[in-house]
Amino acid sequence: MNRRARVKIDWLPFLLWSILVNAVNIWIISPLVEDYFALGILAVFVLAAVWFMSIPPKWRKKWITFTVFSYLLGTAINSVTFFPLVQRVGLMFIMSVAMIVVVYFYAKLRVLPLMLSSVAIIGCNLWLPFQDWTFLTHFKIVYHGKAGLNPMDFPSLPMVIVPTQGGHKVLVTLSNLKETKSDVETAVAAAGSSSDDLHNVIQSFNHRYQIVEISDNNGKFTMGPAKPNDIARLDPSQLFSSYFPMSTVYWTSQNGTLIQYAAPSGSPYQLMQLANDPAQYPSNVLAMSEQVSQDNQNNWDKLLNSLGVKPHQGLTISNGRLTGTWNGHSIDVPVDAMEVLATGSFTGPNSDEILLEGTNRLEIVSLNTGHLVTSYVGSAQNPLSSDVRVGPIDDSGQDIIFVNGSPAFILKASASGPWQEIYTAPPKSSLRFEGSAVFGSDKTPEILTDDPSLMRPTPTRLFTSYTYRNGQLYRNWRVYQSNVVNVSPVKFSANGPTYVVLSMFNQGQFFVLSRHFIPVVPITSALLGLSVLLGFILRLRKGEKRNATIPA
Amino acid sequence: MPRFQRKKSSQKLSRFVGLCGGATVLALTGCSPSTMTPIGMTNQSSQTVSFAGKSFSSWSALKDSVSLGLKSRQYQEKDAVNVSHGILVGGFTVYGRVNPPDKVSVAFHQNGYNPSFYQQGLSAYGQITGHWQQSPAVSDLNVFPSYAQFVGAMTAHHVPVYKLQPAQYVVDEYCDVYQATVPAKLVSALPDWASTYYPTNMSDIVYTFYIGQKDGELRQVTTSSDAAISGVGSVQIQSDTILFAINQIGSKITIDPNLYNSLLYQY
Repeated sequence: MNRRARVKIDWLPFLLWSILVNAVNIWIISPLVEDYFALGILAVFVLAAVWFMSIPPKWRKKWITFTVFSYLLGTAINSVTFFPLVQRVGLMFIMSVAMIVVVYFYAKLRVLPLMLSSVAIIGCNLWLPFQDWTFLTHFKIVYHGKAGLNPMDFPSLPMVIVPTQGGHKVLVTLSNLKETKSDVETAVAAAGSSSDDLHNVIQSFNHRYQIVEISDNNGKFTMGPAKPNDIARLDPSQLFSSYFPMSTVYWTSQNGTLIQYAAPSGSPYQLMQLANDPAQYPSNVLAMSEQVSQDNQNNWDKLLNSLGVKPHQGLTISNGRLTGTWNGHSIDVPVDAMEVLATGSFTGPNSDEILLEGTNRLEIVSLNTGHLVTSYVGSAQNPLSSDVRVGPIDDSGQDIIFVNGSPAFILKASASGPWQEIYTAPPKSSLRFEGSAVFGSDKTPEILTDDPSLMRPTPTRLFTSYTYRNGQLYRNWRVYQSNVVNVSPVKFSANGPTYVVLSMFNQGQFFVLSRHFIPVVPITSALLGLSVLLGFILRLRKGEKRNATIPA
Repeated sequence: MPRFQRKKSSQKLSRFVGLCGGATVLALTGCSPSTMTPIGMTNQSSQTVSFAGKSFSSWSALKDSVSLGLKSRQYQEKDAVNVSHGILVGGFTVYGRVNPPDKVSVAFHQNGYNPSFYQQGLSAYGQITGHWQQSPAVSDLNVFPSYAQFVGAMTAHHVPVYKLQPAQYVVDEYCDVYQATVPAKLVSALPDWASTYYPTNMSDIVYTFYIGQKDGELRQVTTSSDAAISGVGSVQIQSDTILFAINQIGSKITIDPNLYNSLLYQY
């Protein structure tokens, strides 16, 4: 036999198995336990026992050690995801080497497969950290945004969808500026002239954010500085509400970079005045909040002025009137509400309307006639929160209103007659609606939610999709991620596909996701099943060979 | 029987134990601590304490507790104020000691900052970024006049108040619970913050009082209201004030050590 010509690739099964182990852990084992709790643990136990028995006895020690090695290395590499780059590389190297050494001496496995498997695991993690692989069961990650966030400032990156010209949309968010001392010099030189400006600029060092926009160029997403014409269409409360009301937000433009920073709204003296008059907290805090909102708006107007653009926010409410332009004609309607929530077709298909919210009250105004169509007053027991989403639940063309109260409920508006509450979550449920969208043609709309585990008694909410049928929600799928916030289904161009944008709580990362229908979990289960089957076949064959050589 | 076909029972047992152990380890990999619901983001609205009974009552219990409070020489205050908009919650907390009429040592927390305020007589100092500076003095440092004025307004306008059952435990004693829904116009007069802005769009406010059963002291006050703020939208405002260690030696104020060090090394 010509040994030199045969290239030994017996490390390949090890490499593939190391990746499969981690995939099975993320897509099969963790979900079983998350959702089914004790039953899930039992199922995993049974699964592990079957797998254990499928391994030929001679190979058990090596194969099981290698499996545990792959799993532990995967977990360890994943745990340093957010460390600074140099530390991250160093730690990954040290951990891999240490584990290879231990495994080599314990199970006498060859070093080459161990090294190559480590490289594969590190490579997988660099492509996408294992903790984010949970999305891959139902979504393709079209853009993985790393924007930087200091959790002391606000809990998650805002995901602001801004309509631009031509029916397109861009995604606007904030990115933490890593500043050096020389950047501070520039900022100080550019500070305004009022008495607090210098102090505000200096004390926010490393807590300053650049306004960035992510735009879609035929399916390829890029992140760059926000353009003045685009941010002119932005509602600034979406950028300042994370700080509201205890910090006042300032904006400035430096060399084409739009910068946002904040300073405390009140001095210790003013806070003491509030604390000294606690019976008046409701009115004092409201008055302070109104002042802060006004200051924020003024600061935003100052920024737009300095950029030479005029605010172009579409439809807004001020002084009790809904004003702005829509589809070419101007709207001016007296309304009771204070906030614009969304546009859509709420009372029937193709009925261009706008949904507004006031104090415990929803109003729908027709954009075609400019008149109030219908309104809804919330109950005292379960008042309307301002956390309201809209979207379709069937293919009738009518948009439904999801209200995240306690508990959450779904409202179907009606032009003639009372609105129907077509679904109410169970009383103590912490279900939260994020919106709904149709992914792909001929598909029923999926309602995206954050919903707690099926059986595990924790308040942790997982990213779940439901379909509405006859007063009940039926689960489509669940992505076992609990840190998902600011979810919005969005079409970046009028004829393009629907994406989902979301950011991760307490992390400076966000995703633009595209839905796919590849059965990832069944395929992974099949691969696992095949390996178990292969194991049993090998055991049977060895058993036959052994029996065949026994002298009768 | 050939020897390699006969397995010793101890080997079988150890293999079975190994199997169970291995399977358990793999099963427990799923049991990692779960990430808690994000703090600072919530969809809970008002208080979730539910009361079984509700009966018509009078303001006299609160009036008496406030009179008692006005006589106290020292106490501690712990407040939490929340302004919720959508899924976001902003606000601040207060924790400190009050020695009426002119001594206070209080720490706050808001949006990643930890301001402090210290006053004795007409000398007042405050800090936000760790650097203590002189501050204007606050007059009449005492929360009870605020509640006295409130009770006066309530009785003058005959606002109904109810007693709720059962009694609730606050800090260290059981308290009788009273609740009133107060019309917004009765509390929107002359806020201290900015005289230019008046609360314009505020719902009725639900005030809940907890009065100690042992000594009739006012122990806790919560408020809950909805409002609409221009440029922001609908908000829910909630406050929770707890008064404790009333007339206890631990509530006597000594100078804040950070302030002392800051003043000491200035020259």
